[in-house]
Amino acid sequence: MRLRLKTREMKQDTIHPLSSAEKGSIYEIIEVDSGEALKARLRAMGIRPGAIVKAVRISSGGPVVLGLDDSRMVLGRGMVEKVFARKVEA
Amino acid sequence: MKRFTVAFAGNPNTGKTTLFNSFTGTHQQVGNYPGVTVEKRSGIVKQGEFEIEYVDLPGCYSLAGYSEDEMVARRFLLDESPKLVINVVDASNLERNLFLTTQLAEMGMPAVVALNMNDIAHSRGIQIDCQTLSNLLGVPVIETVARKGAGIANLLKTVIHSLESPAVLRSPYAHYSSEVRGQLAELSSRMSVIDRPELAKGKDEWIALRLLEGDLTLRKEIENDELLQWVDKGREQLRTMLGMSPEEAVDASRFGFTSGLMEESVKRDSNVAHHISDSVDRVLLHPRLGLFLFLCFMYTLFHVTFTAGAPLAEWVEELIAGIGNLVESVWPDGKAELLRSLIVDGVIAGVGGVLVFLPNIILLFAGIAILEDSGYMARAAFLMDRYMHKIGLHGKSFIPMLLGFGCNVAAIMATRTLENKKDRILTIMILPMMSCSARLPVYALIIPAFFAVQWQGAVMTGVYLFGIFLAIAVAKLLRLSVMKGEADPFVMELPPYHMPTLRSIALHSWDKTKHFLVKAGTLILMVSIVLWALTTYPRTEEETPIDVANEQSYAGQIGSFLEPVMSPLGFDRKMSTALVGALAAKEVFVAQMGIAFAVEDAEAEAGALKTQLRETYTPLTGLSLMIFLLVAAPCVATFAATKAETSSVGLAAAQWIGFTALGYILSLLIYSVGSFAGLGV
Repeated sequence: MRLRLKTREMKQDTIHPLSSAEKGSIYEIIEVDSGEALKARLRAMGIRPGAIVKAVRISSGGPVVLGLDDSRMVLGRGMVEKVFARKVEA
Repeated sequence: MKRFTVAFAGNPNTGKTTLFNSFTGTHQQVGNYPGVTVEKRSGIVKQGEFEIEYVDLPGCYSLAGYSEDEMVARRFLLDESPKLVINVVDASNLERNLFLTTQLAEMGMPAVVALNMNDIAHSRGIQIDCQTLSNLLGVPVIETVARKGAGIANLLKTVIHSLESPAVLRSPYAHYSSEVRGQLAELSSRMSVIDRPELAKGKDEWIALRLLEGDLTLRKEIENDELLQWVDKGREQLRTMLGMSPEEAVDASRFGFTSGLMEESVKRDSNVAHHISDSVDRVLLHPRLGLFLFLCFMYTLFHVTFTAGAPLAEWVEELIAGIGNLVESVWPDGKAELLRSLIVDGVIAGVGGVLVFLPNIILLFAGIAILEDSGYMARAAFLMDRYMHKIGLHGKSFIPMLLGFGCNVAAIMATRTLENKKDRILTIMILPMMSCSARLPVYALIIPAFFAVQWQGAVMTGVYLFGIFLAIAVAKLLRLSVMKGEADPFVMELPPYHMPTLRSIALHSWDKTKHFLVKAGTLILMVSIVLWALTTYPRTEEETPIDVANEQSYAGQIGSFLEPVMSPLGFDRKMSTALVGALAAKEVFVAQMGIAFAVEDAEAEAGALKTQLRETYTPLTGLSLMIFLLVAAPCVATFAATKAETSSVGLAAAQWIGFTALGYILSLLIYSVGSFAGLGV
């Protein structure tokens, strides 16, 4: 059910995985779709629903750098596909 | 005198270690936490009427225990109950840092908060009201700028004062959601059934909370089915009441608390200043340019290690030769000749032969320290992630691989930042292919002996690159065969760049160099004496020609025994014997070659080893030898570290045997193909 909802929202181009983020844009994280342990680890690092992140560097096929407050987090390709976000501003 | 333990705790990249360094200076010891191979950094300092042991806990974002670092920090805080915790928080990332502070508060820790890098926060338009924050947390909050040494004196004063009358972090539970609090009260009241009072003492609420979060370690320790049933029931209730996992529910409460702290004590301008590190990263993290620059940095590192180290090494060499000659000239002929030979041909030629490379090793470690301290190491991991991923490794595997150039053992320990066991084992397995500093003396002996000056840097880089290539090939092979699967998702913080300070580079490289010196003074000294004895005994008649005597010595016998196996690789009896010594530590090879030539050719000038090698062997033998020493027989310490980290003798043995076989085959190939092509004949 939740998954179906996600697809519907993605169609409206509001919520999408961070792998398709645009460089320099700012996003609000909506959901992290992974196992409990990884989710908890990301939460502690600040990557959690509600967090505002900036897509600092995007490299096709490679890792992505996110800006959170003043820190810079690298997320590997496999990871960014699991983080769903909504664009807040370009 | 009163003795206390004070622990430094904080997120990675908060300047925690810099603060620890300025508190302890050179009074540092590096050891291990019991049972695990996580490095424990501590230092005992006398301050006023106190003797304080400062412990630098591993940097972590949480105390949940998902990684070994987190587990170690948590264990230490619980079991050792330090008198005071210095919680270092990064002012420019305060909210995230306060998450750990909240967890310390849950444990009821006596603390002082060091608000570090407040200058940077200021420049970003973040105003933190220390007094309010201090009132809310219930402990002193001291501003520091560790890099510039600001606020350290004030922090120290506060620490001393707190040791006399410690303030405990205010309990955050009252701010947690009513559902979480309800379950906590329920579980805490049942805590009395635990039959291990020392576990529960004063920490009922903390244990209840961790159990609600599904903490597996604690569950195992508690061993009380009745309590665990209540835990499961509580978790289920939280799930239905809040519509999220209990882990999420508890963290949500913590975030509620930290955002409350932020609201009360922090003002921030909405315009966020431009990040300087981002501009630098535009170049250094560029997919092509960044990679090119990375290779340039690596080349520079090895080139400098080698070329700048050479004159210094020569100077040390002359010094050691001078000492040898001095002993020979003041020690009259015919008096206690054996002892004289032991000292000159055994100890000075052996240990001295290895010490010659001290300058190269210091330079290499200094270079690695600069890469680490400047923040570049994490960028290297970023650059390499996509490639590492292709060969089935993790971007984070790259940092241990880079550290492997310093020491394989340290590198194996550094794999603990990899959370996934499979990624970790795979990385450990290939690490011996990273050419460590103990192999440097071998290259530094062989390369100048056989290759012209203009080729030396290239050959050196070539050997290192070949090691990396083998590591990649072996990793790929293992991923395709015995260790199938995908690498764990990659998440890592990029620290902001900063100028490494001379002090921290000196501290870091001294730390590692000390290790090398200790090894030279103990293991290598011992092996040198044994090897000297093997070369000298059994004693022969005075008139026996020296080459016959050598062949009859125990070393000669071992060498002769191995020669048939080793000669296809181009190694003679002397080399074969030296390779046996190299089983203990790679640099012993140099020591043993020194001893072998010193004993045989008493007339030759001390320190003429390179010339002697050039006269005796061919460049092809040199190349074959370097490859053999690179690949075959990882040293004893590496074997032990692999065994400890993987907790498997089988894996350590497989690693040793596998690489020894591979090294043999490669050297055989090089020597036979080379000989066939008429090279080096």
